[in-house]
Amino acid sequence: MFNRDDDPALPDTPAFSRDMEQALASAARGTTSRRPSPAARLRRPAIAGLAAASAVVAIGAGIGIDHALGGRPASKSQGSSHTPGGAGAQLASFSVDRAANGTVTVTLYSNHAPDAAALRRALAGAGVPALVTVGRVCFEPGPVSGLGQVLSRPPHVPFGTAVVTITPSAIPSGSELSFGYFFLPGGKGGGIHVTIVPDHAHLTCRKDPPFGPRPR
Amino acid sequence: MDGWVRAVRGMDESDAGLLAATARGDAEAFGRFYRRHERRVLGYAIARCANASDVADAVGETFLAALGAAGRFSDHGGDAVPWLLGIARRVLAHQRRSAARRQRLIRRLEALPSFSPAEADAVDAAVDAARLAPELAAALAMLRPRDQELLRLVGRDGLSPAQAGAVLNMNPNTARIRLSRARARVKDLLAAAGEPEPAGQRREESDVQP
Repeated sequence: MFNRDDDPALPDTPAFSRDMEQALASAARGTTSRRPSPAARLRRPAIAGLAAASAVVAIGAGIGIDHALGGRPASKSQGSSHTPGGAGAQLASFSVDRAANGTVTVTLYSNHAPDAAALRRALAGAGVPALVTVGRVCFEPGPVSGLGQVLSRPPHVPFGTAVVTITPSAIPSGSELSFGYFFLPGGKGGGIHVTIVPDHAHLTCRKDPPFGPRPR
Repeated sequence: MDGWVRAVRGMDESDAGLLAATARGDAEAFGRFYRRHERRVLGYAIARCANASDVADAVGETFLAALGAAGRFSDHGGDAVPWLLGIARRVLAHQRRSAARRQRLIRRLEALPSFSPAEADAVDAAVDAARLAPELAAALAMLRPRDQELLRLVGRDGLSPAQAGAVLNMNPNTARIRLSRARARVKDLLAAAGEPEPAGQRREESDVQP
């Protein structure tokens, strides 16, 4: 039998191999993420109006990206604005907190790509149906309705974090959020792209956000 | 630790043994199966995908499908490579055939990882390097798709003619005969185009005499 494991043309992919092995082990144990059933999804009246197609915030030294939310780049103060709520879930690379008024705040911390399944479960637990991808962002090309009602950004964001506040009740019926964690060029951190996608949309997925990182 | 060592010593580490253990719920067994064959599937995908993102999806979807089918693996001489590459082939065919299906897979498998940026660059470079020379690609394009794949499985993926036949659901003799004819056809086409026969094709010649 041929053994081409030492084929010099094959690149080394140790991080991918490690992550894939963990994901497969998780799947083999029957703990793969499961999308919420349609009945469990939020049913809300559709929101009229046209907003920007998506929102992007980035975490990275010297780079702030903020599209569509009208916020400002991450301030360079140290520390964290994280305040655990009643349904808060503090994990290694992100936190998800549900406030008393029903809004859900997602905080991503610098230099750690989130575990997609864990973030999806945390969001689902907070009442936010979401597709979560790491290393690629998925979206439905074209304008998106209602994003401005669903997403907002706190005025003060600690340096090294990306924070998005979600109003679950504003997510249009038959839709969910698509959270895509992407890597900034040159190892300068990562960012999160968020948009609304219909449940059965034909999505486009790519490594960068649809309008690309914009240094500022 | 002693108990763990004893347990490993008592386990059937053949592909069939690991897949049988996987079907019984042993996640670690599938981890060992993955480590054993990951690079073979990676190489297969690199030679057939357009970019690193597609390669990552193909590898992940192949092993997830293998995980789901572990209990149905029948021992092909103890070697699961033809079975695994057969799955990879179907995964890639489905990807090409139905973008919508692929989107559903992506959404279902959202927890699957992708390459790091540095790894993606290296895989993209490998994808570029794996592209066939235009003359050879043009000659292959004159063959039937299954004969093209037969040549690739033997010349590029390192399978024996019998293993390549197993991937394509051909019996070994049929595979050898079709391979020999396909090679002769490519040789004639390259000669007609004024190109020398590729070295990789010559290297396998002695293996395929019917």
